[in-house]
Amino acid sequence: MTLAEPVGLSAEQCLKCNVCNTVCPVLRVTDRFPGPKYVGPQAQRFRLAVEAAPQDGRRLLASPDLTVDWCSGCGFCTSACPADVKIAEINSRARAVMREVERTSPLGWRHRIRDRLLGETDLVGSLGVRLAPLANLMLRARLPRWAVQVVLGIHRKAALPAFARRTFAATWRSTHGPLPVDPSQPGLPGPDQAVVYFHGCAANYYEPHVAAAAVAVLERNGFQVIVPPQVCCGLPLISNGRYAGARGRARRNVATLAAFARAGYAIVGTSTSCTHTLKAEYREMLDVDDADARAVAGATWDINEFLVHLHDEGRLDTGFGARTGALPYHAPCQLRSHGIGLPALDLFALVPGLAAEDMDHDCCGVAGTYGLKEEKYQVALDVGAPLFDRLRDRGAGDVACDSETCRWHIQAATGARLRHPVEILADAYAASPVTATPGGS
Amino acid sequence: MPSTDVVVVGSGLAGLATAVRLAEEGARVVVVAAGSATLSWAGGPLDVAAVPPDGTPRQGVANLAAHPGHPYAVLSGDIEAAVAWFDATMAHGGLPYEGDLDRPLRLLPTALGATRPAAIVPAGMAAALEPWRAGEGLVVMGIRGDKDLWPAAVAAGLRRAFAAGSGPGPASITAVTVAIPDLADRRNRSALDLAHRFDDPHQRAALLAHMSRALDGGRSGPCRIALPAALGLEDHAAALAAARDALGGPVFELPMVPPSIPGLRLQAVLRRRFLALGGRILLGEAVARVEVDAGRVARVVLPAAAREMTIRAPALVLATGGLTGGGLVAPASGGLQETVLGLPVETPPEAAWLAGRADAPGGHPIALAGIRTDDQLRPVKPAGVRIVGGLLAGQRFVDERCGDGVALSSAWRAAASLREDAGAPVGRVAA
Amino acid sequence: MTTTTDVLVIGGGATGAGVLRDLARRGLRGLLVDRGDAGSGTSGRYHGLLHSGARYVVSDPLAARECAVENEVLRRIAPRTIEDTGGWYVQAPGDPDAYAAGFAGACAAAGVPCEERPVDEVLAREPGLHPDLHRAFAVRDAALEPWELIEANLADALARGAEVRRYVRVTAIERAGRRILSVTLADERTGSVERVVPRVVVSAAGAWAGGVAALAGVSLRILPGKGTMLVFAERLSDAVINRCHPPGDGDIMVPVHTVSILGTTDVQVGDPDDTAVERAEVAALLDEGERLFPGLRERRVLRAYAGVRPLYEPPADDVGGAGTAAPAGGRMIRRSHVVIDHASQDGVDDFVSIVGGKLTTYRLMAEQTVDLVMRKLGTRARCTTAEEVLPGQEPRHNHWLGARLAAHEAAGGGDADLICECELVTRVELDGFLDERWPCSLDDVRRGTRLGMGPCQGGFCTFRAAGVIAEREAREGASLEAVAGLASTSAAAFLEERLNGLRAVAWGRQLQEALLVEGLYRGVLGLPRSSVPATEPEAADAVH
Repeated sequence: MTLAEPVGLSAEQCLKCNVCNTVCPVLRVTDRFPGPKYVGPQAQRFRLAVEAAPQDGRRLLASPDLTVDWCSGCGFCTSACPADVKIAEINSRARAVMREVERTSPLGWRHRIRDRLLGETDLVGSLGVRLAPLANLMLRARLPRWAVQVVLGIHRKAALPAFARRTFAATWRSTHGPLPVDPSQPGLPGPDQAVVYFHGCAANYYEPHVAAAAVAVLERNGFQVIVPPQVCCGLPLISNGRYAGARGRARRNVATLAAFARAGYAIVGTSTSCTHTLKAEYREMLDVDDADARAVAGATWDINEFLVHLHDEGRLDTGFGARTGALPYHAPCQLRSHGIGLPALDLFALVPGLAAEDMDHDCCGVAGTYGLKEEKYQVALDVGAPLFDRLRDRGAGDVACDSETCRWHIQAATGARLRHPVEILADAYAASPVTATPGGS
Repeated sequence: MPSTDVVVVGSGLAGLATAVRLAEEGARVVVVAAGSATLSWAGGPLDVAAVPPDGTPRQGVANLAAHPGHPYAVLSGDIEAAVAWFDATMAHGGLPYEGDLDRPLRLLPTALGATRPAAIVPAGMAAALEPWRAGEGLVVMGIRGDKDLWPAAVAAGLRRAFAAGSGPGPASITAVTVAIPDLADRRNRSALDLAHRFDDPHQRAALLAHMSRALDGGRSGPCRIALPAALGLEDHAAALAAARDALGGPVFELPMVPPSIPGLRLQAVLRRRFLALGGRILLGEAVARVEVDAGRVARVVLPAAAREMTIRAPALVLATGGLTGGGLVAPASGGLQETVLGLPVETPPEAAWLAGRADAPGGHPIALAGIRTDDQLRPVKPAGVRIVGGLLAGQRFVDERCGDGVALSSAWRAAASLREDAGAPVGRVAA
Repeated sequence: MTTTTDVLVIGGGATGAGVLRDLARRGLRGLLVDRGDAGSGTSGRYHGLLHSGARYVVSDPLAARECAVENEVLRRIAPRTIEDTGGWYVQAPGDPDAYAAGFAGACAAAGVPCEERPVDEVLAREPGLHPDLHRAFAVRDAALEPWELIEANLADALARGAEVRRYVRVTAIERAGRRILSVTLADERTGSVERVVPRVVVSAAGAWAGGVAALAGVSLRILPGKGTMLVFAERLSDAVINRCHPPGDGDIMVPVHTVSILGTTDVQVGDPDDTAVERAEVAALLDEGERLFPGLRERRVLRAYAGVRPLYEPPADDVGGAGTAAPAGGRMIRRSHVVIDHASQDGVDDFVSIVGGKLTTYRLMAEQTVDLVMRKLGTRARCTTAEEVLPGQEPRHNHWLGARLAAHEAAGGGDADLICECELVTRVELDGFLDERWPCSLDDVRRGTRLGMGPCQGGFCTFRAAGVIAEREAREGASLEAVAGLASTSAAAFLEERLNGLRAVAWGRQLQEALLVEGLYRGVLGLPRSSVPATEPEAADAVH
């Protein structure tokens, strides 16, 4: 810990009051995790700032505690802490150091390979899309999933999404031409008429229908959509302790997006975890904190946040068609880290007849790639169990959630149909061709 | 949510009570809080006043109200209604409290092996306050490995405490430590962990079976059983009933160090009530600044992840607590600061902050620090602001045991006052 | 009761413990007494630095050389008490160029290893340091754990037949002419009184040596020099950081275990027990510390404490002793030690005082003291304390920061058995200490285990430790009254003690922590205030 590193330094503020433990979903269900207080601000006291003694260059064990690996990174501890200790962030950094110092890694080679693979979403996604029919068959079949667990340690029952036949970016290119890299490129609409769309890996490789819904909703509100080339935001790498790789992704995205941000475009994303990564993690976790990164962070919006902002300015088309019935809604952990409230609920309130219900459950359990791992799959199920029970009680039907991995996990656990809020809005717009408030047009 | 009727800063008892009260009146309310800890620090009893410690809460309120600087000097008229509201809200939420303002304060045993005066307590502690009958004993029962409750020390301490107190105590006090085989090799054994186990019907039954067996070895004659305050978090009522049933006598929970399960239960009831009324809670957000238009609160700005988020609101309630809660801070350079609006803080002379020994009667003068308001809980400026709870100047919440009563009565007053505040048409928008 | 011994050692600091060990290794029977626990005086109230010697190369090259030699000795004989952090001398903005320019040369002349390194390298290792350093020198500073060192010395002596009495005060020294007849001891805990007839008395009472000498009717002038230190909640550097300038206030930051200690000041006080810390001293320390670590003022301070240096002021016509006198006054007094033979100076044949010095050179001080004792007793034996590794120490196995966490994780980890969570003191460790030392106070437990030395300063572990003790006592059939007293008196004593450490640093998170903990004990748990009911109207009005 040093004075130059605010995340680690925040540990000094700990009042030792234990409230972090009371909100930890993982601690609630498993004894393997000693809790956020222990692995966070307390273990931090026993970690060196720099990994070597200055005299003779000896390398010391930087992170002797292994149980920090059971932290799912949901971040409830950080929000509950009255003293502003960045507990989940401390854990993430400790995990990264643990992965770097091979000797102290509790993982065997299988899990190390698995964790590398789980971070390589672009690689897995593009391969999967290319082999989609076969790959999807394999993912649905028991034997291959069993093999994947044996070889790689990805639990055979963990929810893995089906690959799309074609990436969203490829489809977009085929209709809109080459992806623009420069906002001053002739023919591009200005920042008043257009937004930049950050689709992330989920909408690109697995759920192009979410991207389509987002485009439809944005266009309905008079915005053209610009899709610059982009790579994985890097969050899966961060979660798996691979900061160096994540930093590379961060730099590439910032290099492309910064010009758009400076030109005044809003960068809108449908993955609440990607947008949070662009907003906060590049700077806080990866130390990618130059003027470009700050410009990108300041221009990035979660799509629901953006739509609420439009509504606040009287620019949102509120001509939603009626939709009857209840809509259970689960707010994902990453959304809470945005500190923007629950904008999906504000939007649902605008849809006539729609009775959205906040399920008020902390975490569905999957926490990105955490719940896919064989040793953590049961934890992920147990963490989400109260949510799943209540959803099952409500019977089949749509459930809304902003985060893709949560949607997949909840869908697999409950059989409900999980939708991104923007899909609900796109449906509601489609049910009513009448524009209620003149949009940007 | 970019606009709302009222922003309440703070999610302790005062903040949540104010938020629920306002929401019950139809106001749109957003609670913003840097954390959610203070109720997890509270032991369980509702502390209205204990001055003198063997009087009634109502006498205590009257005694404190006689001091011109004390919050009760302006709030005592609301305490009756506020406590009644609290009782109804808790009962409705499945966490009934027992006792009232006119019940004499009695000695409630704690996990330190000491006693503290209490009159209004959750049902799970009520058995502790019944008068002790002749020949009735007390068994202090703990779970081996629970490092926050040491039955032998508690029993020994309680003997001394009851001997020193006035009035009859238990005829005998004994300690029983229960070994639960399943818990012996666990990484985690806290009240929180126990409470989770008591929530689960199967684990609850197994735990109580062990406890019942251990008790039968240590019991002679009628007795009450004191247990760690860990009888369930989500399903306390079932756990409490099952414990009474399995242990065959009156049981009560001992207040413990944080995390306080009784405090978390209270928090959960208020939180659920608030959300059911359509309220919103933003946790982990400290207010960056408050913007004022023409002398009146207009916007509350939060840091959010990368870009500040602004909530338009014509009214603001500060329920941020005093120095303990974090609503006041003492910078290294000296003095005290109020953290949200930078309001002037009524500050005792700095040299006297911690004057006296740690066990000096009345506590340290620094406890009195806080914000001075008018009788509508308005600080000097800006308009639209109300101060509730521990941030109010002039109280010694530890020594007077007045913190909960001040929180509730100030919540009650603030909600009523905002309703009539011409500039903040609270309740009208939604009505 | 009367007992005899070869040598009575008064004072259980590092020096006394070192003397006792040296005596035992040279075949003499020693009895050591301390009015408190071993290491509860100056040795336990210092900043945790194993000096490289570089601090004194300009002002006192001889002392510097002694430090450099003893530094290497301690690394050899007590490796586990040392965390080999290394140290830097850095020239911060505003520090004189001339001092830095002459620094490496002065080190070489004094025989203190020192190597200039590029500033960028230092900043990469210590990113919290001021970014505009001018020069940086690497030295062999390290962090030294005093209590473990003292206990290891005592253990070696005990294994060789020595005796140790803690909480035993010397109340009288009976003299007849040039001879000491007997020394009267009073046990502070039991009140029992005992007479000891020693062949030689060694006063290793440090800042209190003047008082001890007075009991023997000897005048010994000690100038107690109070040094104040600030404990920061976390490690702010990996290595010891010194400002490369003439020694002054607040110019050393030592990473000790989980915390950092900024020291020191130097204020002459009349009474060696005067260790109260003033807010102004704290402010001065922070101002100076800020020059090394920008932003330091915002960091959490756990407590302030002071130790009292035993600086010796020789009589004006002094010719004896091992050292030479320098003009009086604080840092200008020689930091080297003086072995005083009261035979030549004061006409008492069997009385020796060892004064001055510093923890790093405790062993050398002990050796020279015992050399004199041997001469007095007319026996000869070689000193072996520099060669033999202390008990419980493994050659070349230094302490390192993560050791406790790693050991705890290896034993299964988790929260369940932690009594003190901040410092990772487990139930097993606590029981082990109690097995060895009971009856003892929680303050003794603190020195032995670091229980309660973290950010909550015992708030969440004191009553746990008291509970553990009560259970042990109850098992062994102690009176219920005694068990009952434990929890509440230890909690009350602890609250008082932490309040003393807090008063001069009552701000920020630490003030909040203290008020939270007090609220828990007084409010939630009902720890009674002394008898009087809360809030007497007069008391309240007096402050309103």
